[in-house]
Amino acid sequence: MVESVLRATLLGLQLGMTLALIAAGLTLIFGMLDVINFAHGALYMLGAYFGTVIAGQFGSFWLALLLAPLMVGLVGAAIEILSLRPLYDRNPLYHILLTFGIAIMIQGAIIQIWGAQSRQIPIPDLLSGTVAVGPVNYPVYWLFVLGVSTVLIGIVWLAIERSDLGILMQASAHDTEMVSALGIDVSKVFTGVFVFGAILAGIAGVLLGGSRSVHPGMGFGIIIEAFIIVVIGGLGSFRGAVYAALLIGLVTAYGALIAPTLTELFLFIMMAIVLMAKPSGLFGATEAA
Amino acid sequence: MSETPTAGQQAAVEELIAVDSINTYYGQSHILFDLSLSIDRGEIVALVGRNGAGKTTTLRSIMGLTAPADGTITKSGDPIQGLEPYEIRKRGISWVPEERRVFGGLTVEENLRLAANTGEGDQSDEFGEIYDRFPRLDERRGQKSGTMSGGEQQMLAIARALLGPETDILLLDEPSEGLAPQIVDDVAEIIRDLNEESDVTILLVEQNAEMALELADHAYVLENGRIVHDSPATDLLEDREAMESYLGVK
Repeated sequence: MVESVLRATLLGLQLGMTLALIAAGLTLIFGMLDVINFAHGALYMLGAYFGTVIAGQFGSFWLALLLAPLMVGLVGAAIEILSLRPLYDRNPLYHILLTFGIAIMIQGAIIQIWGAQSRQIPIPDLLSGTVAVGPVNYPVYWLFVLGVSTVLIGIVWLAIERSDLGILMQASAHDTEMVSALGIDVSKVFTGVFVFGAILAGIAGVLLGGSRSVHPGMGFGIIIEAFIIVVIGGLGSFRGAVYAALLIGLVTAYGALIAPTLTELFLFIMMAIVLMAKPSGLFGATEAA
Repeated sequence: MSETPTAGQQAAVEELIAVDSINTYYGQSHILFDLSLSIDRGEIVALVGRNGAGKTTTLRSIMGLTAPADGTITKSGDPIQGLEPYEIRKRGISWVPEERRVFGGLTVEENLRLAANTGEGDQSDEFGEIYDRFPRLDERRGQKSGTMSGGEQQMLAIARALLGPETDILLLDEPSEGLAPQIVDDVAEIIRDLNEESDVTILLVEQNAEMALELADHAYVLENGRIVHDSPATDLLEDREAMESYLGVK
């Protein structure tokens, strides 16, 4: 009993932290650009596929972890500059249609290029095998994923709260026009945030690609979970996304212990409860002017 | 160009901002009609008029936030209409909006740092000057700006507009709005100091016409998107009839 709870806790934290990497970008992009980015799951999936290609080609997981997210960042830059930028003044419906279309295109391209069968990113020997965590034998790789995601989320958190760039992001999310009138080219900030979100999703793709299967449906699979997280945490709130991701991760893991077939139902019930109690989400728009 | 003008004369005639026959729309509604005005370097110019006359839109047009559909706007002779707001800010035009719009979730220091970072090179001298000028902000560096009083937020909004690229002209939109009379006097004092000591030209939009006209050198009255009066500020202030018919001041 203790063993399975401990195992579920570790698993839940790991799942939560990797989901946080994905949800963070989604919520930051919404908070600043006012865009609901349905292509975010596809960017995560691209990270995983780029990871399989690089790891396969050069035999190095580490190179994949470094390069694949940067490549996803480039794709993100292209999406933002070429397709979203001309539509910022339009009704949000345009953004949804556009990003949904891009998600389908990316999925289609992946099936064309790499086929529909599942793949996996081979993990290095250093990270294979298991290690004893108390009474539990836990995969080293999963601990590694937990560690890397936690450190990354911590760095991003600090950067948003403390750095000049983070302050700029907070200000732009609050009042874009004012920021622009202070002499800042906000379109560059927008591109930066979109690319940054894409890179985080790409990292999550490579990390999870080492433990889960990489397949063309994974993008749409993850986007639902990520949206639930963003809604529970409060649209646009980074802090909220991180807490909500941990909550979702743990509920999923514990739910799997109790009633494996019902875990998705738990997520929707949780979202419904949060929305009924606090429609703006746990950390949503409480500090708006 | 006239020959060897004296320094005084030259300063008096240098046109800093020239707005020439602009028409500005919000969507389908026509707000400004062939509006022209001129601001010389070193002046305080008041733009007064009733609610909805187009005062705010005039400032937004100059700042590039609501670009005019036609007409020209020049700064020191160079056209600026059609530029992005951030490019206009880099040309020395700075804006303090209605309701101040400080970044409420950020501290005073963070608000200022954000603006200072848009300037070139090390801005620490400018920071020192700003805190000398606004000791209240110095005391409240670490406070979230959203929790400050209206007067303090107004000071922060002005301070923020002065940091970053050099400010030649400040566009001030309703700085006295919602402030206690004592604080309105403080704000008026700040505006006068900025103009006299720091050579910042001021375009002041005000509902509080008397406060604005007492400060200003020159005045424009705006009515339904058109300039209906243009004179030295004291002339308008002394013309009780004009004051009453344009501004409802008895």
